[in-house]
Amino acid sequence: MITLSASILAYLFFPGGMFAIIFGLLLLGMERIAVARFQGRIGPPIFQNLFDVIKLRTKEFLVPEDATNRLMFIIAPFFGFGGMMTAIFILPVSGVYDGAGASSDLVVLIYLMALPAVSHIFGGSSSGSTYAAIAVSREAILMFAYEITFVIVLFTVALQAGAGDGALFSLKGIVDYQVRNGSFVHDLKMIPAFVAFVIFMLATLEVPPFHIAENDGDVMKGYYMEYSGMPLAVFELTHALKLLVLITVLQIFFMPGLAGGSIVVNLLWYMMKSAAIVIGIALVHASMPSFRVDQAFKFLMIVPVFLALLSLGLVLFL
Amino acid sequence: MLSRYAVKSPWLFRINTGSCNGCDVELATTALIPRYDVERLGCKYTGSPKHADIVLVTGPITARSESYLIRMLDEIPEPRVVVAIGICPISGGVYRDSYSIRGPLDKFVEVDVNVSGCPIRPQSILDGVAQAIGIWKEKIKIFHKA
Amino acid sequence: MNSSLAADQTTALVYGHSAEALHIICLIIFVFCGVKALFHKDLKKILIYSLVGLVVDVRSLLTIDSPFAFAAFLFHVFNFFVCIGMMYMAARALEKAVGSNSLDDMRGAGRVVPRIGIPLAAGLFAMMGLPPFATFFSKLVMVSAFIDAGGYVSPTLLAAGELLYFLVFIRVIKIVFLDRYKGSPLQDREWKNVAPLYGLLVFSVIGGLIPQIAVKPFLPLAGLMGAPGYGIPPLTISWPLPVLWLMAGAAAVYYFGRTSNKKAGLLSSLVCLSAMPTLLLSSAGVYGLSFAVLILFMATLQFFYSVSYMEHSHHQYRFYTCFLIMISGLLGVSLSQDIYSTFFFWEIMSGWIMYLALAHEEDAFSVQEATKYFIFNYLGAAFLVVGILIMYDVTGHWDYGKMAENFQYTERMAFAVLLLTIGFIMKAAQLPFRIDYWMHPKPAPTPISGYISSTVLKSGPFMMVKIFFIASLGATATTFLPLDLIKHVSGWIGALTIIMAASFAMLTNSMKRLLIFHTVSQLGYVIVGCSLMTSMGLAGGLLHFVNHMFFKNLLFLCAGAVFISTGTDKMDQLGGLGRKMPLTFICFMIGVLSISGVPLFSGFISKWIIYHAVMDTGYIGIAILSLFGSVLTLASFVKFMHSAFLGQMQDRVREAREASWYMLVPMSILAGLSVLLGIFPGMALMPINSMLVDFNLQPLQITISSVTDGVDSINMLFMLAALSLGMGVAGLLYFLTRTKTRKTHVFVCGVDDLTPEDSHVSSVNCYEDAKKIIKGAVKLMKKTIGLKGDYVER
Repeated sequence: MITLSASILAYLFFPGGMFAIIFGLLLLGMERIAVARFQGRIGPPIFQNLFDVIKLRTKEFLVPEDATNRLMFIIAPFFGFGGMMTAIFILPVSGVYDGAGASSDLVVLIYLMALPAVSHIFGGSSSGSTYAAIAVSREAILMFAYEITFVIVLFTVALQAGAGDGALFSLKGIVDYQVRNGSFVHDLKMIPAFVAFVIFMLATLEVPPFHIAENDGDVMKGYYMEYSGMPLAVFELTHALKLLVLITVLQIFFMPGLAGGSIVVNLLWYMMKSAAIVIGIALVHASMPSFRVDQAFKFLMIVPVFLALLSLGLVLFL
Repeated sequence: MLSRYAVKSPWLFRINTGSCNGCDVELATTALIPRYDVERLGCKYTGSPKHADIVLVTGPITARSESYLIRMLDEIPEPRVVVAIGICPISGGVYRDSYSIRGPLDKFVEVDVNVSGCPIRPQSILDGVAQAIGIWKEKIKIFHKA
Repeated sequence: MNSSLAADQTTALVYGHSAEALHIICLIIFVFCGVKALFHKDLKKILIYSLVGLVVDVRSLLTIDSPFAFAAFLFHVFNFFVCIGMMYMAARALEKAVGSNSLDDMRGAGRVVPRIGIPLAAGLFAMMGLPPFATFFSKLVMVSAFIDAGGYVSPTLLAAGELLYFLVFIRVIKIVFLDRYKGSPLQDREWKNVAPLYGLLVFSVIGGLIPQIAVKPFLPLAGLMGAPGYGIPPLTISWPLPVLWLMAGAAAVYYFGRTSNKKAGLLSSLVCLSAMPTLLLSSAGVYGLSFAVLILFMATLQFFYSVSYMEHSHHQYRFYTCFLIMISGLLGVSLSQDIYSTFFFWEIMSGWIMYLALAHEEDAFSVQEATKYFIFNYLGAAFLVVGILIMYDVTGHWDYGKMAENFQYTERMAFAVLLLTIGFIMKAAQLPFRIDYWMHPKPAPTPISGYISSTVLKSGPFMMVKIFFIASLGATATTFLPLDLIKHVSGWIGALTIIMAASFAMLTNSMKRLLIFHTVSQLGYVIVGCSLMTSMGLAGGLLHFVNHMFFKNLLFLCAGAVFISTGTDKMDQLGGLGRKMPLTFICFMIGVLSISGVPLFSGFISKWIIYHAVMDTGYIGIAILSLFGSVLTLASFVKFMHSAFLGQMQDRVREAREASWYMLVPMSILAGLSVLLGIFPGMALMPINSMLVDFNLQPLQITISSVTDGVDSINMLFMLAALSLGMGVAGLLYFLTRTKTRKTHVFVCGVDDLTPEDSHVSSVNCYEDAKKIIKGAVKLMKKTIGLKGDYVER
């Protein structure tokens, strides 16, 4: 009973749920500030994305008359949100939280991380908008291109953490292995995989070099096009959680090192690392123009896949 | 309570109803150059009218754009604030009484803020947006009481 | 002394040379006759040519100096003459009726004069060596004689040669029976005039039903000319009761179902349902029984669905009868305890009955595609027959259990296992080459397409597991290597097929072809899992085996419902169906979520197990390819979903109506099962666990909703709780705000005169860049292995 209520608390408040949402929103705000600073602007306040969500709560919800399936249009955002809440719940934070039981597993992670894209696809597709349909096609094609990188990086990490004894799929196990034997980011063999994973992350988050599916410039807002009010807010929250999930996964895979023995110190260390990663993302965001979809597809199919395979080869044969 | 925080995130949407593009250029520079960075106020240009809070209308509403304007205004969720940018939507400007002009804007919708000028200065746009935010706050309160 | 030795040597040399020369001459005659028959216009001459060719072919039995071979020769030639005699008489009668001896004039005539046509068709099928005719057994005995003599090259060549003649016969059938007759009305013969024909037919069928007695006279006959025939394998077929029940049911449907389609469909459904209790009497293990239960369950649903679906078709009772017999063949495969009966039922399942059922619509396209598939199945069976007989020759038993006990690991045995594996994975439509032959035909009626996809093709992996199990029992550590290699290669074939079929599915514009491509691709997962033969791998493969049955059939039934209500199979002509057919759409969505492995739906957990199993075994390449395949699956189904069900409503769809209850009930049952198995995989894993024990493997640690693999485990109830809590939180946020909802238009920059056609993004417009790569691959395939036309793109 105690474990159950502890799990529910972990899910709803810390480190999942409330904490994750607010932290994720803050990270998004931080990213916007960083981009603004890189561009020589002042930028919004750090709570900006929180305000956005609050604002969206006050707005009316518009349902397009031509939406082919209204029920699906309304429930589509929930898929991604549920998936991300679950993902953040099962991810361990080194030195702070062990992840939800034995179910924290890499294969589950792949499918959970695909859920926001699925909800974009379902939502956009059912809205009946042409822009959304184009965005859906782009999202699916990008997903198709970046997922292969993710899969290869994931197996590389699993094999490296298995230390020649098969693959280790448990996220907790991967963290523990690195805490014992040093982070993978220090390992030369894993550097290409690290770079590939960062590219994957940028593509998943759709920040500029891969700002394609929801690019304001040509498909307006893509699959968000027809959403307004609360469902849009749910999408925003999902985006915040997705950022946090990706950052946490990056830390689990490559840099789960501890800062000290106490939970508070480790938590602060985790938050600092996250902030640093976000600022790195912002740097790329501010300095890169966007690819066209065909260029992005080619790039994603060649560069990160090659890097990830290089790492995999090194791990397997060295 | 909510309205206090909600107004910190006004999302802007532009509608060009046959303007000469002067005001649009000013609008673009206001948002995009660092000098008048409107993101400070939490503003963000949106691509979709369904996300908009503050609608910036430029142009004298030509006959051609009339039906588009009406349809588009319908696609903006309440509570919203309509801002007429430049002299054209306010009075028709130099195009006033032309055979192809259906303006002014307040024939079609209740205009909350008029920002005049031909073309307008960025500072006055910022001022107009700031005023619109104040009106928007009131509108949110009314909208939620109803 | 020396000179006599030299003379002996010369004699031997001359003798050897003359034997070789004879061989070569016979080969030339054989090929010449085959080619001649393949292109000849005169039916009677075709028959004569093929008789000469085949007898010359069979003659090579005589070079084997064994009485067994001689008896086999006599048996086979006798059966041949019975068939050819029957066909020759029928051909003459047909010629008289039509008034010409050219095949062109006989186009479709066979169906107009059924009294002459039936013996002719039966003779043609008998010449192919398919059950239930005596030639099936005589061919088996013949190949067995070859293998008994030690060779396995000549039986393989023989089988290849048979394929040439198979093409001859299938051509005649296509022209005489499946084309449309256009000539003047024909007069059928009186019964008494065709009586001798039917006498011969009955003779041949009796020989085919009780082969153990039919072969008896030939043994002493062979004995008269040499030593008595011995070594002929026992030819007694064991008929499981449910199979007999279904066959009787098929006969009943044929006689009582003529009046109405509804009656025939419901009767067939009832037959399948009522066959379930008879399974209790069967003594097949839990492995075969579970498959049998699924076969009957799916068949029940399929017939129920057909009641409404086949309404637009013709001669439904004929379709139901063929379909039922095909199912009984499949049931026989699952319940047989010996490999010999299995092969017999296998040939019933994938033989001429299936061909007739698939070509039911009788237009040129469906006949062409059905013929392709029939040829392919025949080829697969040729591999099987050689493999099975080698296994018999080495172990001396048909029975699976005894076969496993007496298994000796030799090179021949490895060859047999290889052949069997090829045969079985061919049935499962694997092997990434000529996918247009591999795949079952698109234009066949949807219920049978769905059934073949979901159930019949499973017989491949089903049998493959059995064979691997037997082979692994006989193998020791040193001899394990070839088997391991076979398993690894079949795993790779599965993984490559996943990618190939799924990427072709991205390209295609036809609903059913997309689903068929995905059948091939998903069966790749089953093959990958089963080929590992570890407890995780097998459990994953078998779980996917079951899951795939439900969701793939579900998708087929939904596509069929769409086809019925809109009359088109092209995705780009559809759009916005979700509004017109909401229930179909919900079922379809469940199918899509299941097939792409979204958590809480049934494909997820089986894929999870398969990936773990593959990685535990260390096959990283296979793991990467199969994981990548699931993204491709999602992408191609997004295309389908968007293009057909969502987006803007197209003109063709405006008149569409929701599917009838006959269709919706099976669909919702399958959808429910997909969700149920997604959350409680233990329901299927518990029987699978007891199968694992039967296969001498460690059972998995499972509960009703969770699976554990070493340190990793997954609990679907936990996932359900977590995901629904998340969705609940979002829902709560949404409902607490009590937002006002208003209806507006879709934003198109204010334009209001766009037609739905203009603003609909259809299937052909999706994924251009990915398609470019795939098109390149397809072009390469066209160049290298001769994939024809725009088969994939259409």
